[in-house]
Amino acid sequence: MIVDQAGEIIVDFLTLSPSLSKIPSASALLDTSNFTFQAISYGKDPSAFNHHAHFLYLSDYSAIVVQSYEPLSVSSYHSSAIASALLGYKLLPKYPDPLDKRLEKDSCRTINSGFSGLDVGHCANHAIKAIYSDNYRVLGCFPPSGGVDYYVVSSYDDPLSKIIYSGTLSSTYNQYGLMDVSGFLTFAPLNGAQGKAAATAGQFTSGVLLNLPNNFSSTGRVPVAWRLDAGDAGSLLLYGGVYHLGLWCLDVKAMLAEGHKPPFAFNALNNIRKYRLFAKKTFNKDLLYINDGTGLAAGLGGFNTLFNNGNPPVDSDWNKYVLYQWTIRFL
Amino acid sequence: MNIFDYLNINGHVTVHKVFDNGTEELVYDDHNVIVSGMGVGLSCFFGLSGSNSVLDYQIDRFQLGVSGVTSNEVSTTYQLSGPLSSFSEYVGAEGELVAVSANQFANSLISQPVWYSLIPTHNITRINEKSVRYTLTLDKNSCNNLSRNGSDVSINELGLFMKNPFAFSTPAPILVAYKVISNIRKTNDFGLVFRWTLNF
Repeated sequence: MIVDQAGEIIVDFLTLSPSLSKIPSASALLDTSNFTFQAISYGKDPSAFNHHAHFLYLSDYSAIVVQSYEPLSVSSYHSSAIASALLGYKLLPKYPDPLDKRLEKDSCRTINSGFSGLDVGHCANHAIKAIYSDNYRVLGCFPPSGGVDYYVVSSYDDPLSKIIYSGTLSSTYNQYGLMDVSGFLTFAPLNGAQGKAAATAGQFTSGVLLNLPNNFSSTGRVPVAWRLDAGDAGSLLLYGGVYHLGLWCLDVKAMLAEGHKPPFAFNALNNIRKYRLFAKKTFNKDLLYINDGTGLAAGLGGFNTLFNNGNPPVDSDWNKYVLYQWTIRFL
Repeated sequence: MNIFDYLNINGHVTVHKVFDNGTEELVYDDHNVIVSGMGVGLSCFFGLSGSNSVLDYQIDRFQLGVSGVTSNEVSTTYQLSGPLSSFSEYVGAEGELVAVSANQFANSLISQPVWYSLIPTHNITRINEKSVRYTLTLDKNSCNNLSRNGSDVSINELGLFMKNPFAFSTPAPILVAYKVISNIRKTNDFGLVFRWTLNF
């Protein structure tokens, strides 16, 4: 769904004063990048931010811990299974509304053991900020680049004695500095042709790409493509899956109001960028749901498959990832 | 669904005659047609495949024509049927319009130079968060007594153009909105004001 704010963004650039080009300190406002797509975010239902791996905080252990809702013999965790496992827990996200300005209107703040995380309406990336170093494992929703252990347990009662599957997660997004603390995955600074070349070559380590076909002007289709590596995908899975995707432009007015001047560079650790929602997509089933029957039967499917059998991929081993392509139609 | 379906992008045109004593007479009031060129321009913008300057995606000019037919009021229309074809047709001897010649990007081709009238920046007004109004003013000395092959003709079509989305070295505007109106035989007895509002 393209939300109403998209129309506001279009009117913003249609009515920008040409006289700005004569003012050196303001002429950069006329660059198209101030109004084009700049970020992707992942979301889920608000209550999920206090379930799944957001639920249990073990101060003595530096690990993500989540209870499996599958039979104990299955070494898999997927959030869709939780629907029938917890009474009163609503799995589905809010319906999309053209007036939406974030992925979820209700609070998406994780509150646990006396601390709380950010409420940005979607999955934040607490691991990147030092102030969350003691509790990012509960706040989620992405692992640090250096890795963090995870335990899928059969019960929260003495959980460390009931581990049914474990391993280590590491974030490619954080390794390459592509995502800020608010969970905005940045776009690569490439134009449409360069983006297509990078996507064709499988080079996604500079961010989200515009995978623009040669005939885009006759079809009016602008495909946005990005990769969710196994470490980040597995982490999102443990924290409740992916039920929303958000496509964002910059909120130039908000940044100017804070005293920032263009160009508004992306910096994962200290991002001055503010964003405005352009489009969102809401799903009624976890995008990371894996129903690998053969693998499950062998104890190697689902989660285990995504994790490359316990060996998160490295640069030369990009064979385990989720590739997204979201096409915005202008004709 | 495309962006037009989601946002219900549409437009509206009013045409007033303006007389020397300042009075206005409404002579036309109807919706317009957003044509495919708008989608082409926006896909170029959001696909980062044209100009890097926002100014090239702005709607900064219009054309008037004399051969409009309602069957052209469809989204596939990419040019006016009979646009005014010279500086003198726009400006005449004493008119105040600013007319310029430039190529046109039409149906994926660049045409030979055609004439446009520029919209002064102060006549581009944001009237709310999602709407912009273009006020096209023809003073009483502009576009008068038009003729084709010796016969009198009337203004009956108009179009709005995006400046140069593909950043061609010689600008090639693209038609983004189109409207056929009832015949108006323009003379120096009155001016015309077109108030054209696009809603995003």
